Amino acid sequence: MKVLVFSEQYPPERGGVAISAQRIVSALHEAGVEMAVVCYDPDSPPSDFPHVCSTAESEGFWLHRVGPYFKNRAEQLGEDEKASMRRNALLLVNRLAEQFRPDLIHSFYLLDAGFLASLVAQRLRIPHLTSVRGTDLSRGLFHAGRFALLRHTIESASGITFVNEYLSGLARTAFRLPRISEVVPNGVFVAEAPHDQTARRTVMRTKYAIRDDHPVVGFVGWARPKKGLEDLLEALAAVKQISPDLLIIGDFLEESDREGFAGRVRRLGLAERVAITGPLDHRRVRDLLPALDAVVIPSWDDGMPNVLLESMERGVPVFGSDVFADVLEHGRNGFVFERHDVAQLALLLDQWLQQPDVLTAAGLAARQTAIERFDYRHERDAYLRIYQSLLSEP
Amino acid sequence: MRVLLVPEAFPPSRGGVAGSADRIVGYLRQAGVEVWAVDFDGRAEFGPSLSVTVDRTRECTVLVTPFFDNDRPVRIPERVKAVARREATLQLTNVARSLGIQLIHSMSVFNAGFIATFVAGALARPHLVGVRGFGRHPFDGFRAECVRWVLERATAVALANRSLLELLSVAHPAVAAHATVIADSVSPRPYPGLDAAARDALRAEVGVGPDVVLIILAANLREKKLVGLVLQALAAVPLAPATRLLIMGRVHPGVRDQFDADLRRLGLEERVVVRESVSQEVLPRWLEASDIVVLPSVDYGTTNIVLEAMERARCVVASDIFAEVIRHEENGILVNRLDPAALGRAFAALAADLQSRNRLGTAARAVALAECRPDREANAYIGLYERLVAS
Repeated sequence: MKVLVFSEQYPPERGGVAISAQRIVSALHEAGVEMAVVCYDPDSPPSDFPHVCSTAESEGFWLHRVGPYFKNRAEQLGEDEKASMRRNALLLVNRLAEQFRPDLIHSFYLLDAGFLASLVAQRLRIPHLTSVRGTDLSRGLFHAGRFALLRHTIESASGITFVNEYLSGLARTAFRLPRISEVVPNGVFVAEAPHDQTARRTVMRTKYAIRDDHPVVGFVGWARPKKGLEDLLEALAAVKQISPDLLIIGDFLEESDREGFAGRVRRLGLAERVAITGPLDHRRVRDLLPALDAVVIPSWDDGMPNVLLESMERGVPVFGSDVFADVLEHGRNGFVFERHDVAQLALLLDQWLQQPDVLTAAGLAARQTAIERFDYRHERDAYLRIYQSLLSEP
Repeated sequence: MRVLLVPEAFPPSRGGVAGSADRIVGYLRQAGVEVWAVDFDGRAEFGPSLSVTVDRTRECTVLVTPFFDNDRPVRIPERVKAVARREATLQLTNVARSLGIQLIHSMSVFNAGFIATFVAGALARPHLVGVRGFGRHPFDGFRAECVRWVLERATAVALANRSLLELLSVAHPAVAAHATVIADSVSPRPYPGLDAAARDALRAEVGVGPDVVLIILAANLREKKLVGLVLQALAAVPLAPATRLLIMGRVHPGVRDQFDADLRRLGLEERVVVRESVSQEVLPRWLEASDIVVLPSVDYGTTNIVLEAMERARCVVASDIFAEVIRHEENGILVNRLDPAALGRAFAALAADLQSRNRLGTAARAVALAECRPDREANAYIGLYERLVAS
């Protein structure tokens, strides 16, 4: 079976889509599927001549980066220019697809990867499986300028997957979905349980100048408005009985977000209690997780962030908004609060951060959930099954 | 019956849609329908922390705040608007579910109808899409697909006048075949509402004496009301008798330069006055204090101001888009769209002819009272609601 994957991002780009795409592609390749990957060339300025940079990945498949593309400059370019770039990218991807001759195209992220993949698949008359990851649907659906392309992508696909029920429900409300439509949650690589937490904590506290004798909660990833970081700060300020510190493992995508954050930290009197690591590679993030007392994911809107499963796999308890209620079971393998409900989050932090035994038990249960439900092989097998269904359709 | 009414604007916001929503809600409640009205609050400063709550200070109102206002000069990026639409949708769905809403009635296709389509879909309730003016949406590459989607997903479509049905028949014929026209109405008030002293005092507020012919254009000036058209027409009107144009609304930043340049070029600085729009309660007084009310619209849209001016027994000069309610030279004057010369001739003739103005105004009030009654409009909606809920 030959599958051409078209992913909106791919490592070394950071972000959930890149990490998930690499995990899924590697797993499928390992299972014997012949893969090739197309993604964008993120560093190529709009003035570049249309091009493809192809490299052989260490796992043994080809990675093709198509440029120039507007992904990181979407707000600065007009619609005409974006349309030209889409058209040029389509020509290049068509050529790559003709050479590779895939049986199926699998896109990650609806716009623009999914949209272009739908055209390529139509041209080659092969099935197109599109995978919805998060804001590609949950924000794109409400974006007047993207709605038409989104609708085309979804309604013309042969199959569609979502990383959670929330996204699946949104799409069902809006569109006619393909016959094959499934929720395939993210997966996680399960490693040996971490056993040197005390040493890791000491190293972390020293490196990021975090106070001793206070619990540390982590916020992991790009600090964007939809992630609910403002709610977390308000909750930390409202916690009464303890005084937890916050380590942001990640950074701000936009300077305005950083300034807004800094202002809020000052206003809430949290300046001594917040540290930021700056961007870290994925492996380093995984190493830091066990040093935390808990991870908080207060998202207003999300797909299935990798940090959720990775924290669980590392045995770190997660306080998550109800966006993740299909993974977290309140009081058993994590703690769930209603999104936007700062008071509830503050109450939970106050109550549980001072009970290490409960946190440990929740962390162990979380790791067990990760092993039983979210091992990457479940995800891989789900995609393999869907591929086979799509290819067996008349 | 419990209905969620989703207008684009609701009082205390101003404008035609807010006025229509207020009137329709009032008459539906009088008729015993439990109407919950959604207020998208564009008055507060826009920010990311949107909330949707039942407003305990007002009767059956759901407040969505802060929401963006497209008439505000600050440009909000589309991706930020998308997030606001999503948050409004998700939270409004929860509130509507908790209220036990049986039917959703949106009053503008975009954004209200767009958001309402999701809410209705999530709750599996019928959705009546009200169309009060497409603006340029059918011709807008950005929004056309959203508009099509809203109309195609609607359980029923009700248009505020026949001119909208004409456009719908061309742009979305399959939808038009099943659409209903429920014409706008106007609430009757005692007439006259102003004595001579009150009239003179109002006019004095904008520097217009009792003998000057006062023409009112009540609208925010965007491309829609075609600034240049009205100014060119006014420039063609002789200086005697004295005429003044009062623009009640905001001159949008996008047309401000053109507006100022036209005023200078045409020598109209002394003949045009601009002031902010006024509330729905005060507007009838201003209309009554005027001599002519002008509606030069090119877009297919709502007829509120026309009806309100008619109800105040004013002489209305309108583009032929309003032929549904204005009968030329019987109860008003119709001119071709985008014809400044014809508009100028109409102004000049009426400015010089008080008797004609009075005759047309009297006839206009008679037509408004006889044919545009709010109870008739409300009953039409109730009949449609009952059919939709039953089906």
